[in-house]
Amino acid sequence: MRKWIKHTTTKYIDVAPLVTFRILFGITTFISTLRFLLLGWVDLHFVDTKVQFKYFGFEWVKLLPAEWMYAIHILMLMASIGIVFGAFYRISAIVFFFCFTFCELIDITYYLNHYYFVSIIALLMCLVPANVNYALDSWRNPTIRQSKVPAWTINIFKIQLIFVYFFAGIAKINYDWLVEALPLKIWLPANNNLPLVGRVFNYTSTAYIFSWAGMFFDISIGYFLLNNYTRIWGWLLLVFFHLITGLLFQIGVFPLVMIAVTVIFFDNNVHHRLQLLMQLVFKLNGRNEVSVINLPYYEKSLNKMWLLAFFVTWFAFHLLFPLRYLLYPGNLCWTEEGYRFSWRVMLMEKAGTATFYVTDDLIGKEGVVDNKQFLNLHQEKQMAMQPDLILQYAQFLKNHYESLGSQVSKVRAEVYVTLNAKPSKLLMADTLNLLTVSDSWKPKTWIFPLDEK
Amino acid sequence: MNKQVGIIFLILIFSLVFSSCTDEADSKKENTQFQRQELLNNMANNLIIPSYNEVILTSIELNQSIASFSNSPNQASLEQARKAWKKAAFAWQFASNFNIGPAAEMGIQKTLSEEIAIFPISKDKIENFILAQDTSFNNFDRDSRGLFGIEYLLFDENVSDAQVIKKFTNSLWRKNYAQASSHQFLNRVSTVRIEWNAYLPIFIAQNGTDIGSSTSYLYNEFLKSFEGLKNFKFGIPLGRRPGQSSTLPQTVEACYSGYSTELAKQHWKSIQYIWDGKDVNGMAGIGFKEYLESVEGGSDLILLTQQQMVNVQVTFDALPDGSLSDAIEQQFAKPDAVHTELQKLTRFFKSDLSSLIGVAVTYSSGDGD
Repeated sequence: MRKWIKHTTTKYIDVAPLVTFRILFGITTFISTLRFLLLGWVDLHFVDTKVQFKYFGFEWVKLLPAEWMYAIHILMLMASIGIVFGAFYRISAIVFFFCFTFCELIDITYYLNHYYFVSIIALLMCLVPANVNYALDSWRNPTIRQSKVPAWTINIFKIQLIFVYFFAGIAKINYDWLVEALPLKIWLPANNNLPLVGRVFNYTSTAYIFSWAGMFFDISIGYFLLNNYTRIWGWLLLVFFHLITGLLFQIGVFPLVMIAVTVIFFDNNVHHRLQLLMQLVFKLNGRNEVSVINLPYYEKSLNKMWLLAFFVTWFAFHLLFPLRYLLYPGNLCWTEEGYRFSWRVMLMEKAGTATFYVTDDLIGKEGVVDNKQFLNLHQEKQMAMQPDLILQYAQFLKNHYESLGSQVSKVRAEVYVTLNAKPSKLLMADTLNLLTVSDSWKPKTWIFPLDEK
Repeated sequence: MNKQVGIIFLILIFSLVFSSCTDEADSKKENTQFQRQELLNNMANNLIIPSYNEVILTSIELNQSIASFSNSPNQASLEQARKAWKKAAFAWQFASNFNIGPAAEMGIQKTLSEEIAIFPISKDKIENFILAQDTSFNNFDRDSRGLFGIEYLLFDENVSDAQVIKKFTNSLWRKNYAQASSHQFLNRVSTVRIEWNAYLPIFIAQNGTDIGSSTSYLYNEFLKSFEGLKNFKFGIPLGRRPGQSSTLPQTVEACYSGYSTELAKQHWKSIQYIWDGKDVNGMAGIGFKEYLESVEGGSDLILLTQQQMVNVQVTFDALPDGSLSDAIEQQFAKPDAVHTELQKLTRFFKSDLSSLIGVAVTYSSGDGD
């Protein structure tokens, strides 16, 4: 056991996988940021917005003026390039992490598990010496050159990745997913126009097979990637899996990100060959081989005990936080208590219609809100099914109408939500004054249970 | 040991995935296969294009009758022009549902509805342009022209027919402005109709459900139109917005001609046609309803939706034809009931329908797996 711990943490191993990881991660964040800019999403998300929904505890994160939001995205592009080339690596990684996380924290309606994933990986990237080889930093400053690094600098990423897949897998072990094949029974026929395979999606049996295969895949892929004998097949399966989901669903760059980052599981030979290929293609000089490990610069800069404490806390958090839903009563998908940050990806088909009524005491009348006046389609769609966002919006409406001279004593909402193709139901009493409810970690008892009329 | 277990497991997953490609032949239950292509085909050829044709036919008549009214303003030619306007406004209710393809927003050009049929219009702007002898429409004051700008000129506000005729007789630029407005209306609709010739095959070929697919365009416009009926033709005039202390009867669609209620009923009819997939003549075809019949949970939703549609119809039937503004002022409960029942219908069209047919509503990426 002791030997195993030493083997996976402090033992010095080849830096090659970390280098590949750095390059591929940088490339994907670059593509992702560029895509975001080119699609005009900076405007859509951060400029043409009247309301921003906040993360609990991060209400202080405020939108910056348009030119700043663009500047931040340009900065992210530059930081990504820095990461790819290992140039001013530590600064690049830190800049990227803060810029990216800042943008994510501005509006929770844009929350995606894969953005959360990128934030996590970016933070870990700040802690590892991914620039000690095959990097402009180590080329400029040969004293930091290393061919080996402590095993933990690579293994933390592997553990993080396994967590992602494993939790995504156990999230799929639920009645709707396995017994009803929902939501795939809805989503697959919607893709029956795809060439060649499209027809197959009309069969309900296809939805069952995809549901079960998806669950098995997520749960076991970590093991396949760790195991020497199954790794290559596991990874090919992973590529196949992500390509299929990328083809079927509107999920952006996520398949690409996952295919890229899981390359870290391959053994040194593969990475050496990849790097040799890179040398040939880009006509680089030979590998910066350092045969003797002399005073690894890395250990000087970070205290070992501090690191240990950090990672124990870190992984304990990542192990327990996705399980917090167990502490809440009721159906997780319905109340969404413990839904975010838990790797619940493409797990349910949920949509709501939320109509808000604002009572103005000055005129003694209740009025109906046209959500389009304040929210874009995406924000409205997300808000209309998530209890905490409904509370935030009610508060916004109160403030908005009071700034126009009204005296708002009550905001109520008629929120009908449909989950996995079941007839829509009221999420809470349509008479409840939402201004009297405040959000917290406590169970939201004001939400109607799913299984009762 | 590890090796065998791992490989067996892998094979199991592979075979699970690939078996789906081979069991087409077996007799497992297949969903009634719905062809979105047929829905798109039916919508385009039997509803959308014929709706534009109808608007063009009626507005050619409108152009001619406004020309003859301008040439010789008298009671008969005024009545003729008003009759023609009514026809065009009725035809427009159907065409207004389809701001997609050539009618969609593009660059500085807004959707067709916003370009040529905005309401309420600004009579001050219209009078100012007439005074300035400006019929160029080279501005973004879209509320100074279009279908309801023409309505204002022909029906005017609180004046007798004789005075309308007199105003035209005495003002060359009033005549010019009316003719230019009706020309512009006809031109814009004709352009869209002609561009539909090239767009039609694209419309039918984009038969997915993602954003950018024709089904998603069609659905999003359907919903927008429905919400427009509820919010702009009833909600605001009824004073139903927060902070609105009183009704705003003059903000109804077509407030000068007094046809507002009939036009709203016509709009409601067009919504039902899209739901049912009927063609312009009311013949049955493939619409969202039939689409729902083929999907999980669809038959429940059809039942609930149609029940509520009946309730909406009852309130519309109780509303007397004529001016909606008058109805709001004199028998508030009746138009208010329409608003209430439309509100109850909203969720079925808005979230339930889109969720069940799996159609994309926004551009943003979903949560990846």
